[in-house]
Amino acid sequence: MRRHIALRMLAHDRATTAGAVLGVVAIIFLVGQQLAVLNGLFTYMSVLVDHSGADIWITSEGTDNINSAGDLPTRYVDRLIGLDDIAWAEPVVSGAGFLKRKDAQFQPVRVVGVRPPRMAGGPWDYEVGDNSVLLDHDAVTVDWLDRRELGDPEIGDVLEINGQRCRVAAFTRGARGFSGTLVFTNEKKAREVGGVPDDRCSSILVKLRPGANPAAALARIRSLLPRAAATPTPELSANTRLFYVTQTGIGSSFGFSTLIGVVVGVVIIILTMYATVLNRQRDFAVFRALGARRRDIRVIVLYQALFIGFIGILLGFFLLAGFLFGTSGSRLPSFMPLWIPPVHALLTLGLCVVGSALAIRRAVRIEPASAFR
Amino acid sequence: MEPVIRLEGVARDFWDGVRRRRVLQPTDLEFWPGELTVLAGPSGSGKTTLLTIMGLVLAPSAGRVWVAGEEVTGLSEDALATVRLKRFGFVFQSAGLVPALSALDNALAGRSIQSDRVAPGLRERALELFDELGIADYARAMPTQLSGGQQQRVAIARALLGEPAVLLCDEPTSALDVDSSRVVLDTLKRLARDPKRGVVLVTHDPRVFPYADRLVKIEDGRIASDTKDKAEG
Amino acid sequence: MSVQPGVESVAALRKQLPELVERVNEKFRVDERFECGPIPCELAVTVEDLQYRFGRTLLAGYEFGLPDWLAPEFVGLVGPVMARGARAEFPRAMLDAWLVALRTTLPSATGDELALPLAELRAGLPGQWPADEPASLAGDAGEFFRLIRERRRREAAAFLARRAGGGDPSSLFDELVVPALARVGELWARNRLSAAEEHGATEVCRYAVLRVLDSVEPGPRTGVRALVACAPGEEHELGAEMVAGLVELAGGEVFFIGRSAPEAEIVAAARRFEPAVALLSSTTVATLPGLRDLARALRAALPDLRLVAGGSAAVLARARLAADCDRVVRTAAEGQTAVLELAR
Repeated sequence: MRRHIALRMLAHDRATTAGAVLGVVAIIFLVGQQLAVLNGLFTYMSVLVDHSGADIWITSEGTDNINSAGDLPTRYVDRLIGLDDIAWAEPVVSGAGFLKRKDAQFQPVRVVGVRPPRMAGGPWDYEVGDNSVLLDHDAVTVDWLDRRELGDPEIGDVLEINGQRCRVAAFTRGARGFSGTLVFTNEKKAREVGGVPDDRCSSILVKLRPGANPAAALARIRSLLPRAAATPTPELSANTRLFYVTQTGIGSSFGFSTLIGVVVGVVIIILTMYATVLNRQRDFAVFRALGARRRDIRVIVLYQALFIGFIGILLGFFLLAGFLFGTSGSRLPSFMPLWIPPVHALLTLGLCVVGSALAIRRAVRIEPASAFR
Repeated sequence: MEPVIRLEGVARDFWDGVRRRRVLQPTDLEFWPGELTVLAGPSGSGKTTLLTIMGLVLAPSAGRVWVAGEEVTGLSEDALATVRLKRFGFVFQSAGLVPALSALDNALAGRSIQSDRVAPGLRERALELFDELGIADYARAMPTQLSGGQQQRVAIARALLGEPAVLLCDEPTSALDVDSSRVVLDTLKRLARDPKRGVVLVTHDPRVFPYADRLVKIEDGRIASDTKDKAEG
Repeated sequence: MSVQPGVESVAALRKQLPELVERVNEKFRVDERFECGPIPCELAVTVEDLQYRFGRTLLAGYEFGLPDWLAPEFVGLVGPVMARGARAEFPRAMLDAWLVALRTTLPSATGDELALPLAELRAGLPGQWPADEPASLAGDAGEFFRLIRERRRREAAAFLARRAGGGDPSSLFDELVVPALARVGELWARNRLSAAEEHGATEVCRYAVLRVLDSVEPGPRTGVRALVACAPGEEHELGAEMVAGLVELAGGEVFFIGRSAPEAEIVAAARRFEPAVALLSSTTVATLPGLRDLARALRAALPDLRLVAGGSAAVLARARLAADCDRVVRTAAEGQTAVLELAR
């Protein structure tokens, strides 16, 4: 009966219930949306690392994120391929450039050159074309989502990057960098565009042989290349993300927005639930007089909080799904790892319970004698 | 025969913001089953205070209380709540129905407030009571759809569902018209005929007096008169 | 009676009596459905009326400060109802109704004062109705009672005439007639005689009384003029009628008005008849205020008029009536003597 009473009271006080549900929706949607965008940005931050197919990245010493790596001697590649545990090692040449659009405007891009024929560190998904197009000397790829930014180039269009002739040969999908629009090309073109001499490269990708001991291999590489950093791919990916979160305003900005979402939601929940209890003081007094213990009153309000949470979470996720659906394939990065929704829901339910604490406190303090006044 | 409620030296003080004020002087009273006792008195006389103390809703500042032979003085709030649930039926001024619940749910809520489920057979018993009280057609209605008299009868059904030893009614007719008031009073009078149950009714409505088996008049926090001799039971 | 209510309380009772009776009846209409069950139908009117009579009795008892009157009056009023099948709870319910009505109609202190004697009465109510069986009449009174009960008119008259033996029958009235009449009343109260039988017996008794009065040669005319009347509301007239007959036998001229005439008409009759003495009869406490008011009205109309009060209630209220009446008499013979003495 307590559950039934709780639900009927909520259904009866539709306006205040809607208010409290709105608070939950605010938490779920605002926080969820922030998390989705943050996750989307995460994928951009380390996009090159995550899709390289390499086990270990060799970068300049002291590199804490791939987007700010210095350069390395290219000969390190030759040193590495001599090791037993290593299946292959490929250099990646990366440089900044300005792409001249068809309308003669310039757009900063990041040119990533990969070595044929393996094309390690190159594009991993194509809207139009494939890796083979990069065999052509002038060929560059442009991401499907960056086309507008780059002046709507078509396949076969010839453009200039840093005054060097380039031809759009393929459209990639999801190959978008965090610190600039990514343009892939072959190693040679990248050196031309970026002015990178033949004996230098930005990083070296290493693939271990199957069955190799990664820790031993890593130690071996580190002893072999004392002036470079050898980092396992997942670690470099994480470091890169951590760098952006901690060293730029992104972390605090998202954290703040998320906190605001939580605070706004919790405040709405607290106020509306408290208001509900205030409006229903007489009902609670009647229940108390009829024989409800304090714990029964607590249970009723708690049921209300959980129900409000449940409905709000459903609605919030429904909205969030709409948001994710609407932004998928758009320029707004959003990505929701599968573990987030259940955790988010549970935490929000917890917030509802916390938010109802004040209301519960008020409700159990209602004197049964007031039913007689 | 055992009194359903026994009060011994029960008194109540209130803090009025400036000083402690005694609103109920030390009072000895016994209430018997099979009787409709009317507690009458002007407003502010302390009659509702007495009723709430009898109903274990308000703790007395002094004195001892027995319900159905068992002393309940000093029990914890939750234990008192359980005694209320098991022994008392309450009928409030203006019915005190919960607007969010249907008439039937209101009736069931009284007995089932300490659990999440309704005891088997309780619903059927509630419907029987609705039938006896002439409100069977309104079981699904919401309180706002009921007249004052119908609401009060729902409240009586709620109070009776637990087969209480005592029915405590606070001004149950003050908001009712003549006809509704008569129906409600007839019902209470009939219930008081049950030799296992006592009915205590607080009022200053003169329409109620003819229904009294016993009249206890309260004035200035004291029993001014009692039509029943203390010695008899 | 432990406490006599104060003057203000009694005045309040007098003022509120109609409302009180209405409230008692209202409570009875409720209780009838729940408490006492239906009252036997032949008594339905009586029970409603009973409350009015009890209210007037209560008022009179308090006004006249009577000693030990309430219990017998209550038994006298309620006994016949109980004997006719009212349920055992009736007397207690009736007193409860009065206690509730007094305390809800009047201010607390007044209500309490007036209720106290009732509460005492309630506490001491007999467990059984009737409480006791009256001793049966023996001797001549018993024989006369048997004759009037059996409505043997001629035999009753002859029996009385034989006992009078042509002399003054006043002692016969007090020794035979009054006890026999009282016995009739007792049996009626116990439902051993129906109202019809009681009225029949009373009429036969009256016939015998008048016959025996007529059988005696009246004395010479003395010029004494006496008015004999029952107090307003008083239904028992045979006692007064016997005194009237005895005064006539003694040579007086009597205007016998009989039972329950209105005060104004009795006064008007007195103005026309100009009696020297008026004898007023009251046998029930309820009629005492009426007797007192009548006495005062007669005194006001005829300042020289001498007043005699008689009847069982008047005797009970002897002390308070002393201010308004010259004499209070117990028996028919005393009545005759008083009238004749005062007329001189």
